[in-house]
Amino acid sequence: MSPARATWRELLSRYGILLAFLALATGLALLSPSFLSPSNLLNVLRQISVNALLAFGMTTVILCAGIDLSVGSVLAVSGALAAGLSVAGWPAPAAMAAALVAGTLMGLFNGLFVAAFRIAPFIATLGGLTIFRGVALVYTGGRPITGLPDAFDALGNGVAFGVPVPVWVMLAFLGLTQFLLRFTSLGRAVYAVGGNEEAARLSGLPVMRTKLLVYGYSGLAAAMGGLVLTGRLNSAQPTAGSGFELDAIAAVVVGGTSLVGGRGSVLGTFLGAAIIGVLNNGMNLLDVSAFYQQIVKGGVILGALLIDRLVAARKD
Amino acid sequence: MALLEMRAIRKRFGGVEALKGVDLALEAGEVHALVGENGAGKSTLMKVLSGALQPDAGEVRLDGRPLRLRGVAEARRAGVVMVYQELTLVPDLSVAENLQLGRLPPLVRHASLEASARALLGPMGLSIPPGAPLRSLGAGAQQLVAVARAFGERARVLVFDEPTATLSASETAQLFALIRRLRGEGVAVAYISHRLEEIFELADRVTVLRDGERVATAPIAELTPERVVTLMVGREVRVTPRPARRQAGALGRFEVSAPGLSPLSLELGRGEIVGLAGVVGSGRSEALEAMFGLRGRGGWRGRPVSDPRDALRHGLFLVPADRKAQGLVLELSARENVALAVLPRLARLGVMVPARERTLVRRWFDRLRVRPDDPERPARTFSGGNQQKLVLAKGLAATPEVLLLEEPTRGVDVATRAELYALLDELAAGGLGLVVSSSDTEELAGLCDRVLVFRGGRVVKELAAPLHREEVVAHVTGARDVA
Amino acid sequence: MLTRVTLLLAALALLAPTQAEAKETVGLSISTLNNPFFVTLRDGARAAAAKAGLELVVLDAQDKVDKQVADVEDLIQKKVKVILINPTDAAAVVPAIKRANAAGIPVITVDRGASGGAVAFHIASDNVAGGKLAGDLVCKLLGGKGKAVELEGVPGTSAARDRGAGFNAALKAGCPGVAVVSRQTANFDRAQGLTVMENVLQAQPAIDAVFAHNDEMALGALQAVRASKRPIRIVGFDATDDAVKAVDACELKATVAQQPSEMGRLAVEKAAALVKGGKAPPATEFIPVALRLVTSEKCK
Repeated sequence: MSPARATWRELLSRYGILLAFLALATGLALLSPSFLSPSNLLNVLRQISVNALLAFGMTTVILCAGIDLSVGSVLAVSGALAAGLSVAGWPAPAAMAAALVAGTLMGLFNGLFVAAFRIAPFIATLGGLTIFRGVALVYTGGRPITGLPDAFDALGNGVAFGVPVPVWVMLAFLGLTQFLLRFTSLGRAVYAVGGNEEAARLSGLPVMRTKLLVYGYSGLAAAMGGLVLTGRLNSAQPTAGSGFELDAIAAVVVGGTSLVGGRGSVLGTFLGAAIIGVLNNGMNLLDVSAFYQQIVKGGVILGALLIDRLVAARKD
Repeated sequence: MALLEMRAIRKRFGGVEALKGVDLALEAGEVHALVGENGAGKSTLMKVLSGALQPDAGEVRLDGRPLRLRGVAEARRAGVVMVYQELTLVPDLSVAENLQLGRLPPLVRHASLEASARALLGPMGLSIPPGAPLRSLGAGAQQLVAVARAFGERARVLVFDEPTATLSASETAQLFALIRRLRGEGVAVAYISHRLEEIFELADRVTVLRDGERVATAPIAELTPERVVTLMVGREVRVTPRPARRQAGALGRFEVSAPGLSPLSLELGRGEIVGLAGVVGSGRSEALEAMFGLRGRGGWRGRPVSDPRDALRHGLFLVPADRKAQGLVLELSARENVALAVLPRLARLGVMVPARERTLVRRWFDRLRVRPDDPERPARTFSGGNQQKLVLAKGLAATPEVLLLEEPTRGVDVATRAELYALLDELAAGGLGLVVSSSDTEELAGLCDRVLVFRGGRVVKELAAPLHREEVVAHVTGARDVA
Repeated sequence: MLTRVTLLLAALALLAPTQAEAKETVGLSISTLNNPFFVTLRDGARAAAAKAGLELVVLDAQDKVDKQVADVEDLIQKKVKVILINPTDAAAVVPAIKRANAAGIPVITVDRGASGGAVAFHIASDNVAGGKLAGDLVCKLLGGKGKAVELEGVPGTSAARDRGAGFNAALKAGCPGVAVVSRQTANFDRAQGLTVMENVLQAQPAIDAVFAHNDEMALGALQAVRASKRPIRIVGFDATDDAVKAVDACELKATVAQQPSEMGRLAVEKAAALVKGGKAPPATEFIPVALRLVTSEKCK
């Protein structure tokens, strides 16, 4: 079985992330009566949707041996753009589409620096983080944009067939990402470039184009997250998304994707986001102080990184 | 009693036995050269001596007392120092500070540092300003500083491994003068080199290694370059001349140039196997890489080849020297690796068609007899020889017209090696053109229709069939020029 | 991983308070506990809850709008009887309030308001009156003529809006000779107050007084002013311990005292009334909490 591409069966046998998740959920169900109710589970899924969207995009970048620190800022700009255009009179679908395009362009901007100018991804996207945050602040004038049309509320707070709309969006994006990574030649190229860029180059793969595209995709995912968040908050906040890149990376790492690239899956990322979401929710339900919550979350992430290292070492 | 003795040293790497019970004795005040082909075990032996590697068996004695070296630092303390090509100096510090690296007092006083530096450099005949930053010196001078430092640390055995590869003629002369001075001071110098002219200029005694065994040790006066070459190569049965396989018609002409390589023009015939011989840095690897568009300027059939994608489009494929680092994505399955160069052909509108991929991989797995016969296993689980087959499969799947191979059987077991040779023969017979760059002269002599020998970045000799291994080695080492 | 998870659950079990089923629970979603003002508010709420025999769950949003929404949603899941919200952003919290409405849980906003949703009570200082107090004081300090700087709070919060409105209205009505030459937001944060003030000091050659919408910003600005050695009078808002000390030391000219503890207490009392079966008023009822000016006699 190929370890780089995960099927559900593989996740179960290999890391037991799923097992860990189930254990966590079971424990919380025992500790807090409100945890296991269907409404709370949907609650959790809704709450992780923005982070999961960012994390799906981040997964493709990390698989390609890169990283994208700018997703929080791209989220803010996209959300603000969609809101601002709507308030200015654009029909909501057009404003949202424009935001998605803008997010993709911002991602491609990052990708240009990484792929063409060979700047280290950490540095390049750190620049993106700062620049795009500035763009968000300038565009919003530092103030939230409110008075949004109902379409945003429907996107962020609506329910379809008993399931919150953001959850549908998240699942759709999960499906799309998994399809791209597992079933297309582009996805194969992503794993190859991340696993061994030199070998990929010598095999004639379009390394630069592959890298460019994953960053663009990450921007698109961040923009989608921006739309959902704007809907949930009923406003576009200039400070939206601050620090979201770290949560996205945490979800990716806890989900078993290796930070050096070439190994991992987006299904794992979904579980990673779910674990973090369940932790947050559980700790809130158990009235654990926010400061302790930080410590616990940090501990889980470190634990996941350690496991990643041990697994990698064992393979050699 | 010899200053340093190595007895019955054995060392195994995975499936390959690099040293099969080698003895070596170094006398104080001599320059002892160590020669042998690539893979003969010279570097491995010296790494054992300098503490970088632990032998599986055998012992090392210094002054008659057993020496257990558990690392380079311990070796240095014992007085055995290897002067690496990658220097263990710090470019940002001054010469004087580098000379005292590892022995700097807590409070560094520049005046006293410079004084000790002068005291060290002066008697060695080196006029290098002690206060200058190390990076301001040329490679040659930096190496001299490394040697001076070793001497300052009371080294009793100095080991050099191909020290003149990056030096100019005058720097080489300075190094030799220094080595002679050290010899006069009673230091034992072990000197590895491919360049027979240097050895005959500098060494007192020579030890020849072949396939991990010591075949001879003798004073230099009793040897000639030809004799050394014969010892390196061994009394081989003359290889039967290659059957004429070359078919009519040329495939095309390569025109390449690169830094470290003079412009080269090579016409490749249909079904021809051309070999490129030479030591590291001689230009043969550079030539091959240039042909594939990896460096310098490449041209094939009159059209430029600017990068690997271009090269593949032109029907060229490179099997790289390091299959793990350059040839395969180890984390992916064998199937995914084999399909890697032809993804567009296996997809419809960007979506992979599993059936097409499986068929392709099955075909090449069968043709190349890859073992174990499980394409779903990760590439990293296959043996070296089978990994090489995977790389070949990947290339052949792209239906190239020309195969470029760099060190195609390095680290491959004997049985698979034979399989690969047979395969290459078959491919040539089928009309492919092959260019093989290798440090294994036996391989070149056995496989190629003709061999181009590189030295100093240019082709110095073209040898045609019937090829004799000794002749190849002679030209590679420059023995022919020395005699 | 499994051992790690088990340990984690054990830790959580220790941290979680025992679920005493006897008491009714009220939830408080606070914007941030990094600000001493809100710490005092929470403490006042806690004391009142203890007295009323209520369980109080406090969730800290750490000034993150999305976390606050999640916090409120989780309180709804916990089925608390009343939700007290101290909004990080007036608009962003609305969907969460609507969800609480849908779940039949009454909502009380504290210190800052929300721009939508059904809220039973809004308990806040009369920030407009407070701003007016500050404005009148600045007018007096400058003798009716001079240049002032306004450091604003988080844009969009009712506190920032109202304090600013009161301050500027007071100047406009009674003090035409005083001009506000710079108006910048420092987001109620001390560090930002410092950097923003430094920038304003660079930009404005003549400044006579500074009014900051809260003490944290005023104290930040104080550091900048001290470093510049320019004679500038500073007025804050909130009367936190640090600010009161600064007023006593004649570093701040004055601060407007809110009574955060009182706010917390009132909020919980209203909540207790609702729990006991009281009815929520048809429209949001504003419960103002009085303010006073804190100055020091011995300074001139």
